[in-house]
Amino acid sequence: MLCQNCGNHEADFHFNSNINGDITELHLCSECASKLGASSQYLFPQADYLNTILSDLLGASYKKVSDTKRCPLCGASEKNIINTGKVGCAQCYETFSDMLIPYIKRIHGNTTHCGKAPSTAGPEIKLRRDIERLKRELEAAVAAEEYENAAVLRDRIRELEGGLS
Amino acid sequence: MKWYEKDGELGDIAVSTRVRLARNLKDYPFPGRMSQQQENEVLHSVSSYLISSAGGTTFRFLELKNLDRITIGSLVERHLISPELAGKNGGGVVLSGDDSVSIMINEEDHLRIQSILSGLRLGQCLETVNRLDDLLDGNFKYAWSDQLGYLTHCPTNLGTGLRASLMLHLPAHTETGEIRRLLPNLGKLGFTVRGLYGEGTKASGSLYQLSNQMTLGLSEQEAIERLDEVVRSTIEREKNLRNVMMEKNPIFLEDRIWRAYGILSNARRISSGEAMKLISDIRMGVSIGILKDISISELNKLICNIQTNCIISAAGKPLTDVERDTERAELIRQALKPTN
Repeated sequence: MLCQNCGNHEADFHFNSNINGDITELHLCSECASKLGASSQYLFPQADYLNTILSDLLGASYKKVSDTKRCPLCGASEKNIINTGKVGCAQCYETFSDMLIPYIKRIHGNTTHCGKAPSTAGPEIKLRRDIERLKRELEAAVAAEEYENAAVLRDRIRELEGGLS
Repeated sequence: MKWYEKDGELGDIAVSTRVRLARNLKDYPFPGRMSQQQENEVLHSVSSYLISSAGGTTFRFLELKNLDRITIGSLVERHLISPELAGKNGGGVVLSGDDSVSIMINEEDHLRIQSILSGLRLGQCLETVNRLDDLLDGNFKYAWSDQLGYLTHCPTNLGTGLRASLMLHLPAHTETGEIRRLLPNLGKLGFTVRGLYGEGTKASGSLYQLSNQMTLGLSEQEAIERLDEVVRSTIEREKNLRNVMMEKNPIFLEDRIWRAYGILSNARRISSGEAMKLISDIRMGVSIGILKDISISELNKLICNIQTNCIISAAGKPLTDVERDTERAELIRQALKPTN
């Protein structure tokens, strides 16, 4: 996992705090941890301190904070999300995607889900699942030196990938 | 029989396995932004659906606002609800008879579907939560994005919404100071280590919770497999460290274990901190074969039952600190009493 502050190095320091139900998580590389005044003896600092860093991270990845833009479903503003580090509703992820996507990339190092999908998911998800499954079968076929089968699988993957946007 | 009374794989070191899925309903704001009416709608529609359609499982529903402080505290101590849900009046929990399944409603997310079993049993826990997830998916529309996966209140849970954790008993890591080397290494691999009761709590009795951190870009199966791998190697390392301790100074270790047994089987009052520390020694004694006739499941049961709120809850009346410590010592003496 990459450091949430610089996004360049592996995070060595993992902070978790739960103060009266207020849960905060923070992952930093040793350089940023010492720069921000945290050390291994200081594993569970005050939530206020952590909230500030988390909010700073979210704020830092998006400079133009607006208080007028509101989510049409829950009424949350960019400021609300930055202050709490939490998103108001499912719609917020679309409404504030400009601000959230870079932040999500910093946390997870990735912005594409792979894994289970609900029954209501779109057809593209099903297609991606099929491609992932075929790729696993292809790897297995190559490992077993079944090259004819592998060629068929490879063509099928290409065909399906053509259908992805 | 409760889940912790059953034995599980590598159960002497792997105390318990927990897997939870975070899910939200599409048509409601996340819990932090819900009105009281919306909270009630989610709470009652989910709980009544689960109770009426759970098939062979018998569920019970507990609404937080109807519970006293002690009962809530004992649910946290038994890992059936999170400390976060404990502070929420508009929340609730649906529990299976053996307490191995708990579905928290209106916690940080609308739903936290959890399965907990003794030993190392990630696959089985995942299967259980998946089954419940499918059941709920059949009746409720989840908050979902084709790109980001299951949408959650906090972006750190996006994607699979899956958190899998192992409670490990690592006394040799603690004793030798190896635990300080283990923590940053696990961090690099995308895992975190927490104390007994989750985020921000201290490790008590050498019990640590090891869990996955990444939820986006990694499938449920991959996350579970990676955790399983790292848990097995940590357990192996713990065994090696114990062997080294035994070889280097056997009398020191034996003495410590027998002393722990001596105190716990004779004490008339004991604090939770001291009890957890000594039970940790006894657990290691059972694991390496120094103490016979004590079962690991008995010790698991004890860890749950001697927590402050659990003792008061079982007594059914308020207890003074001394009465509580006396009751704790009594519970431990009973558990360690030779059966024949």
